[in-house]
Amino acid sequence: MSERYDVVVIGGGHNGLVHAAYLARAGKKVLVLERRHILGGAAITEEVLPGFRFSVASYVVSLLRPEIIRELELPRHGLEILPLDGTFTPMDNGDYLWRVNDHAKTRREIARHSKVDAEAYEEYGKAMVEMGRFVKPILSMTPPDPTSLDPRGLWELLKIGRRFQKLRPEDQQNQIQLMTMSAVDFLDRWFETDVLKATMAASGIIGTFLGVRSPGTAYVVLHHYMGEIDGAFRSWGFARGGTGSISEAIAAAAREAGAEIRTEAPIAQIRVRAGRATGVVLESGEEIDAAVVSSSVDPRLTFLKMIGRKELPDDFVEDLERYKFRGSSGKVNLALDGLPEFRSLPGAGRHLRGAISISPSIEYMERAYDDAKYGRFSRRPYMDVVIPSLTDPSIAPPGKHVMSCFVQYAPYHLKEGRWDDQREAFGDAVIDALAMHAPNIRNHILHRQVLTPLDIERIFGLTEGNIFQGELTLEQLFFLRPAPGWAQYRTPIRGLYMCGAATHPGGGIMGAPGRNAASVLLGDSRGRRA
Amino acid sequence: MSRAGRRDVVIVGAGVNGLVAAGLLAKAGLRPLVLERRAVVGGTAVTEEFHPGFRASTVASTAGPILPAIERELDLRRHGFDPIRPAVRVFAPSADGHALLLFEDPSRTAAELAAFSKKDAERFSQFHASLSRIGAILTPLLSMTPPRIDRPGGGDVLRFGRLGRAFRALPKRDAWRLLRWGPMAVADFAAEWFESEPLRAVISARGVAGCFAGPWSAGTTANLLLAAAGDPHSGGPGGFVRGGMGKLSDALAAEQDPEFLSNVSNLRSTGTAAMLHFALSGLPDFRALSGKDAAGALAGRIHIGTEVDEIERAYDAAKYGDLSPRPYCEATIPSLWDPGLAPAGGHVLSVRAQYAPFALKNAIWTDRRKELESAVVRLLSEHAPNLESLIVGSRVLAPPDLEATYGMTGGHIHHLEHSLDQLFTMRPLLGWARYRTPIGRLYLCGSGTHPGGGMTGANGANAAREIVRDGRRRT
Repeated sequence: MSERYDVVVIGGGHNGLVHAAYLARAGKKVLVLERRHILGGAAITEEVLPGFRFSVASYVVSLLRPEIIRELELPRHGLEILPLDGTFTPMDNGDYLWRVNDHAKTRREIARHSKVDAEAYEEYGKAMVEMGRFVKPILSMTPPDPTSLDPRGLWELLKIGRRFQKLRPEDQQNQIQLMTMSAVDFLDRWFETDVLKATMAASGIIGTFLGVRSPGTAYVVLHHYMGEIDGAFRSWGFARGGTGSISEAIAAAAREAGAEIRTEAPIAQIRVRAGRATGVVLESGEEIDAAVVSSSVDPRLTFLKMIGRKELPDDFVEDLERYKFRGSSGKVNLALDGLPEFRSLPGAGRHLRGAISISPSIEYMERAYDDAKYGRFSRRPYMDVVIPSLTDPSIAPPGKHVMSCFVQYAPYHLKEGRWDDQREAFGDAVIDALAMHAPNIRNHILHRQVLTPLDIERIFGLTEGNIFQGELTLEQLFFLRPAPGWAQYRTPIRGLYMCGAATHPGGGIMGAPGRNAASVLLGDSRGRRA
Repeated sequence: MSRAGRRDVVIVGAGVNGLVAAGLLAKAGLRPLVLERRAVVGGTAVTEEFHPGFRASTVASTAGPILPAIERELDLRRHGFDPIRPAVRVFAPSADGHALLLFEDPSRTAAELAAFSKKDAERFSQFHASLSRIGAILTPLLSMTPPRIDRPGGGDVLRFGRLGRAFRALPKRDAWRLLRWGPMAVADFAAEWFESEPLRAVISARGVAGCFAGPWSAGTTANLLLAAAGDPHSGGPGGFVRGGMGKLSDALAAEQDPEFLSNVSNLRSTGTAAMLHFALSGLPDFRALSGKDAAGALAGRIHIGTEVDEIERAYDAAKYGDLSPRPYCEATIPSLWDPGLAPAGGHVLSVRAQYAPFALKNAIWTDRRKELESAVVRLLSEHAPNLESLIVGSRVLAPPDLEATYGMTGGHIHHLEHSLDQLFTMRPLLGWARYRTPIGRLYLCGSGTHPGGGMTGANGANAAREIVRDGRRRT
C-alpha cells in the first residue's frame, strides 16, 4: 500500500491499456485501475447467455493504429482479426445494394444501380485514399496550440500547411470540403444513387448528434475510412473471440512489460496537493501514491467528479461544462437460434457475413435524425448490424448465432419520459425496423440485450452515453479536444494527464490517444518540460 | 451598337456590388460600363411599387451595412443615401403575449432581458463585448482579397501574417472562441451564452438568415460571425435606408450611365427564403405591445419564432422539399420611419419567410404561393390578430420569382450558400477566390465571391481593386 508508482492509469479501456503498455515498456512502474470486474472499457466480450459471447459495446475493429499492433506485438499476445466482408443494404423497394471487398464485383453491383456511379466509385476511392494519406500523420501528432507563441507549435501548423500545398488542386478542394461539408453534400459531388449515398453517409453520423445532411459529417466519414488491417485501406474486421480479445491482447502486452493491472478498483478521488496530483483514493478508502496520474476516462468524470471545481481554473471548468457529449446511439445484442432471411436477398449467403446497413435512403436517415433532434429515439432508426458468429463460430453454440445492432438515434436526453421506462419500446422499434427487411427475425430471438445511452453511461462510465467520450464535431477536434488550450494531454493539474478518447484524435478502437499521451508524458518526465 | 465606344471594363449586372465596382473603377480613372438586364438598377437592392401607392424594398430590406470606406469614397450621402438606425433592433413577440426587445443600446437590452432571466441580462454585456472584439478583427477580412492557400505567393504569406497578428492580438479567451465558434451550430452557440429560449431563438435566426440550414446545422455560427464582421452589434443587423433599398442603388448609380442589356449568369445555389410584401391600411396591433410605444418597438426587425426548435422544424420541411407550414419569419415595417412608402395612414409590411425551397418535391410553385402567404398571415396574426383585416394588397416573391426577376439562380439571396465550404478562400471555388476567373480579363464581383451576400459592397470594392491592380501590371 505504501508502494509508490511512477504512473497510475485510471481506466482499463483500450486506451488506458495502450498507454500503460507504452509507459511500462519505457521502464515506468505502472498501475492500471479498472472500476469493473472486466478489462477493456467499451471493448469487451461478455457471456450474456450461456454459450453466447457478445461484443457488448464496440463490435468491429479497423481503426486500431498499425504501429500499435506492431510495437506491442499484439498478434503474439493473441490478437487475430477476421475479415468482415462488405456492406449489404436492403432497400424498401425489394432491391438491395451489396458492396464487397472484391473491387470488380462491387463495381458491377453499383453499375446495376448506376453506370455513372460505378465509374465515380473508382475516382472516389482514390480521392479518399489521398485524403486519408493527408490526415493520417495528424492522428499521431500532439495538437499544437495556435494561440501560443511557442515556435514548436507554429512549426507543426506550418508543416501541415506545407503538406497541404503539396496536394494536387483537386485534393486540396476535397480536403477542405471534407472538413466542412455534410456527408450527403460531399457524396452528391460523386454519386447519384440514393441508397449508395445513404449507406456511405451513414459512417458520417456515428457517435455524433448530427444528421447525414449536417455540415461536419463528411469528416466523420473519413475518420471511419482510415481504418486499415494489414495495410488494406478501408477494411473492417472482427477480433476472434469478440472485441474483448483486443483489450486482452493489449493487457497481456502491458503486463509482459511489467505493468500491474487491478480490476474492481473504482476510484473515488484523484488526490491533489498544491495544484499537483499525488495519487488516487479508491472507493474502498485505499490510497495509492503516484508521481503521475493519467486518466483515460472522460474529462467530466476526471475533473468534475474525481477532483472538483475548487482545484481548477474557472475558465477550464466552464469549457468542460460545455464540452458536448450527448450520446446519440444505443446497442441491441441478440442471441438467435437461426439466421435472418432478408426479403430482398433470401438465403444465408455471404451478404450476412459483412455489415448489414439499415440505411435504405437519405430521407430515411435524415428522418431518423429529426426524431432525435426533438428528443425522441428514432422510430425508424439507422442500424449497423453484424452477425460475427458466422465468421467466428466460437462465440455461439453450434447452429446458434450472435447478432449485434448498433442503433442511431437514441438521444441521451429524452424530451418526455425516462430511458428506464422506454428501454423495451426502443428495443421493439429496433426489431420492427429489422423485421421490415427480414420478417423472420422475430421467430429466432432467444435473448435480447438492449443498451440505451443511459445504460452505456452506467455500465461503461461513458458520460451521457457518448461512445467517443465526446462528439466528433469540428469544434471538438484537434487542438480543441477536449478543451481549448488543453489538447496536449496535459491538464491544469501538474502531474495529471489525459489519455482517453476525449483527447486527440478521438474515439473508436484506435489507441492513438493512449499512445500519443504516453509519448508526451515520457517526454515531460525526461525533463523536456517541468 | 458602338454608341458608348470602347470601354475599359464592362460590368454585368447593376446590383450593389456591380455599382460599387463601377464607381471605384471610375475613380481609379478607368471607363466602366454597367449593363443591367432590368429596367431598374440595384439588383436585389431596389424599391418597387408592389401595390398601387405602396412601395417596398422588394428583396433586401436591411442595408448591409455598406462598408463605411465605400460610403465615404463614393460620397453616397451626397447622392441621397440616408441610412436609418431605429433605436429598437429586434422585436420578438411570443405566443403568451410577452415580447423580447433588443435595442441599439446594449445596456437597455440587458435591462430588458432581466425580465426573462437575470443571468442572461448579466451575460449580455459580456456577449456584446466579446462579439464586438471578434467582429472587429473580422472586419478587415471583408475588404481583403482572400489569400491563395493552394499555391501561396509572397503577398499571400504577408496577408496570412497580418491575419495571424490580428488573431494573436485578441485576448486568449476570444482567440479560442473564434476557433471554436466558426464550425458550431448556431443553436449551440446561443445556448452557450444564454438560458432563455426567446433570446436563443433570436440569436439563432441570425445564423440561418437566407441559408438552406437550420439552427442545429453545424457551421451556422460562421454565418453569424460573417454578419458580425460587417456590424458587430449584439442585436444583429439594424440599418435601413430612407426611401427603401433602391435609394442606396440610386446613390451608387448617380454618376454612372447604366444600359439595359440581357444576359446575367449566376452561380449555382438553391434558395429557401421567400419575400412577402403586404400593403396595409393601418398599423397592426401586436398583443405584446398593448399600451406601449408600438411604433418604436416595431421600427426594427420583427422576429417571429420563440423557440430554436420552431425554426429548426421550419427547416425540416425544406429538407424534404416542402414548404414550412409554420415558417420562420422576419418582418419589417419600413413605412414607420419612411411614411413616403405608403399612402397616408397606410403601412408596408415586408416579410422574409423561411423555409420555402426553390425546388418543391411533389408540387410546383404556381400552386403554392397562396399557401405560403396564408401561412405567413396566420402566423403573424397569432401575434397581431387584426392583421388580416388591414391587408389591402400583397405580393409574394418565392425563390423562382427571385430567380426570374432578379436573376439569382436558384433564387438564393446570397447567390451562393453561406456555408463553411463556400466562404473566404473557397468562394466561389478554391483557387478562384481572388475575383479572377479562368478566362483572362473576366472578373467576378458579386455576392458569389468573398465576403458573400449582405449588401456590404465589399465584393465590388475588392474586385475593383484587383482589376485596377492587374491593369497597372499590364501597362
